[in-house]
Amino acid sequence: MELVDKIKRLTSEFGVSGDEKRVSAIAAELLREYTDEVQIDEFGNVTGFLSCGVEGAPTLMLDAHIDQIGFIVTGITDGGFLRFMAIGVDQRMLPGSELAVLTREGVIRGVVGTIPAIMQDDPTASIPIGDMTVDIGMTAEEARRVVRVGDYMAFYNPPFELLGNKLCSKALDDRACFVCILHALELLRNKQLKVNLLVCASIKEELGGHGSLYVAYRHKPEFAIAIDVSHAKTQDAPEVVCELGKGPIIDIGYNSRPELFALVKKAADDNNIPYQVTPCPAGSGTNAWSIQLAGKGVGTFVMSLPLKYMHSPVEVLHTEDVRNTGALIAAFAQAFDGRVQL
Amino acid sequence: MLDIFNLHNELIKAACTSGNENGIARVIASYARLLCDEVTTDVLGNLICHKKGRGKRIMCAAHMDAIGLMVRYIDEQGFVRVYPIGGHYPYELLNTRVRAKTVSGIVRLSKASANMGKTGKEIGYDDIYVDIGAANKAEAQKHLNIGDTLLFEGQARKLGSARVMAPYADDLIGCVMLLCALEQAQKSQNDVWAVFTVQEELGCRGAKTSAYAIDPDIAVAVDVTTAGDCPSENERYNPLELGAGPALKIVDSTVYCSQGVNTLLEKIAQAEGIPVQKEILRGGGTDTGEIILSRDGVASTCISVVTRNIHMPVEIYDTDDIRHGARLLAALLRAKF
Repeated sequence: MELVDKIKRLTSEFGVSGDEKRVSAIAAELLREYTDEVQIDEFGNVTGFLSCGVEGAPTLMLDAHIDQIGFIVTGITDGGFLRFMAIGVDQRMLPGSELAVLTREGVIRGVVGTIPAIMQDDPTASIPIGDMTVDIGMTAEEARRVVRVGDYMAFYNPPFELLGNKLCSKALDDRACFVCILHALELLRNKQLKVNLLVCASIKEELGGHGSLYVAYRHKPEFAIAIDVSHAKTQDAPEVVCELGKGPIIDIGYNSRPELFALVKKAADDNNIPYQVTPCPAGSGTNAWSIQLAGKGVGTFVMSLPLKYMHSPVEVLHTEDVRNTGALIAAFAQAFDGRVQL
Repeated sequence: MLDIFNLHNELIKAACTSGNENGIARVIASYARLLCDEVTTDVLGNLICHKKGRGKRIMCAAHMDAIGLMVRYIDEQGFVRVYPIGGHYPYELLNTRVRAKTVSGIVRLSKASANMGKTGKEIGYDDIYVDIGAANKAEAQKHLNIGDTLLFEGQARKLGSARVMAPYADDLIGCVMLLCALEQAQKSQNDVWAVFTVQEELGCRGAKTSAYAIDPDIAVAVDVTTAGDCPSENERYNPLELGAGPALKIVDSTVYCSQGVNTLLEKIAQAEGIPVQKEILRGGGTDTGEIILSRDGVASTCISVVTRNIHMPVEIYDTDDIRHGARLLAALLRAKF
């Protein structure tokens, strides 16, 4: 399967933080192509282990999260509209959005409605989420039969390709990065490594890196790379220094140990893989933040895939960045012997 | 015997921002090796100094990371835009001098922001820049790149007979106090683990992993706390004074400290004739907040150095408080309990 098809397969499914099981199953299936030791834990984290066969070798965890931002139904109005709370969503993106409501009986579609701008006091103001409802076209009676408080909702937007090797979809954050890891595993097929690999498709990142923390505590890897998305420059953000199509982003900040930064940079330079550098002094906002503090601590690093319009229904990536991020993961994993003194 | 003022100055020269503390760790390790049996670092960079003994397992923590700035981007004219490392108020940074490896600079408010009439807490990081005197972007880039860090310029200076003004009392003076305590506790029978922690300014992250690894019986952090004896503070009914002794932490916004450990320290202070104050800090936290929650809980407190102007390049403390604090901590390390 082509890389783009793998991304499409993962992002076509819905899996908001805390409700990832359908995506976990797909991730596990894709990962089984590279190792027999694939497990889905009781929370929905998917892990795969690839031993390098060297006794006492350290383990490098490669993590990408498979949950996505979304919504939970908090009530049904007498008019049959759904009230909801959001997980990680930019409220300005919501009016007019198409949502998938994940009910017991399957997916139904809804739209986020608001009072028309012309009827509002300030038509330019951002509308609070509490003032929005989801219209599923049902009466209150029907809606209460089909939808329950606590049901999850997600952006409906299926993936589609834009010109110039770009892909637009919901949930590219961070399932595209899981595909970067899969690409790295493809490049590492039949290669002798000096470290074991623990591949993890983790859950509940958007809530604070919970899933990867469970996995890191349980499996105790010595090192970990969190692969996540990072903002790419858009017209309205001149201070963003990284751009789409210019390769993986390596982070400077406290979630990336400086010694690992130097090794990743060397791996990129040695293999002519393009890369960009971004400053993250206030924390990376990735799973490295939580993995770093598991147990006695883990030597972490953050590698990012450039992404436009993060946390919106129309995230955009460049497929060449997916390929290069995978290539950099592979190049680092192959060179790394775990003997770095952190 | 270690000299408080000179040692603090030496540590200020080696100061490192949170997240990359290897440089300061090397300097502290050179002293700690003379005072402990084993000195190691963990994967986060915590410097863990073990003085072996058969008694109680006591962890002491002073954080060696410092706040600073990180280069975010450099504009065409060679001005440097920055992000904070740790807790700053941008308006408090205005006109402070900063340093990197090969260059110094000054933090300025942009004309546009000044013209908008922005004041005080309205000023954000988009409103300020660092002028390193570069003629253009190319010249600036010879000295600084994205991700490089900037520290406060300056050394410790004596004010009067006992007081000192310096950048990075927080918490390099805590590191000094801990080293002095180790020096005075060479005959301790307890199993002493002195940890110079990393990433405190980013959420007490180094304390969390080191406390987990050490699994101590009790723990004492050493950090600074806000002085109440100056105009900015005295209306808040903060009774802490410079020179009135180290402060035993009762509460801060992250922790209620162990009454058991505090009572023990009070008894020791009384027996040794060491003055102590009590600290109730309404905003902020220290490593104690993470250590106390490690595993099944660790009886913990904090010995605080009463300090003015915290997180500014002109922090002021009293060396008598450091001397008394070191004596108190050393007596705890020697105690049988």
